[in-house]
Amino acid sequence: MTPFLPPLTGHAAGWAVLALKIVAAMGFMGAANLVILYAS
Amino acid sequence: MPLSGRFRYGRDPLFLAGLALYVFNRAWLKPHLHHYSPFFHGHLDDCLLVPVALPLYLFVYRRLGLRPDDAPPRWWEVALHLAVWCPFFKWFGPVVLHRSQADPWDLLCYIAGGAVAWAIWNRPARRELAPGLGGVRLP
Repeated sequence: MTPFLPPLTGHAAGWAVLALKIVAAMGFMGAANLVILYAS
Repeated sequence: MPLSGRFRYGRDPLFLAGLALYVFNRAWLKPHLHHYSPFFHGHLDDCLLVPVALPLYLFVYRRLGLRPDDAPPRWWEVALHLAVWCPFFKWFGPVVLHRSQADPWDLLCYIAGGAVAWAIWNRPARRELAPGLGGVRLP
């Protein structure tokens, strides 16, 4: 089976993981901000 | 890691004191006030935003691996969150979500609370604490 995307290795994998972490942090921040806004 | 004690996030004394003050104000003080008080009904909560909310945010960043150590909140971490919270709570909330009110004094309270919290978290006495020893004071 030919993968649609090339496998992420080395620096590419590191950047991808970092990007995912930043997206997760931003998602948490947005959700937490909404909780504070509606709970206050 | 800077020369300061390890930050304890959800067990930080300032966080716990601020949370206790917020709960006390919300659950007991405000319901027992006979007249509207701008400070207790509004500004106090705004002053507590940074000391109560920021440690929880930083804890999540630490668990995600985005925060490299357990140093006390850095000035730019406080400033970065204020740069997000000020427009979010005083523009996006009131204008877009029709929630909360856009009061310029609230922004001042956010900034003042953040500045005081940062000063306490980074007070010189912390530099006497041993880094990495969980706040054990050296003889």
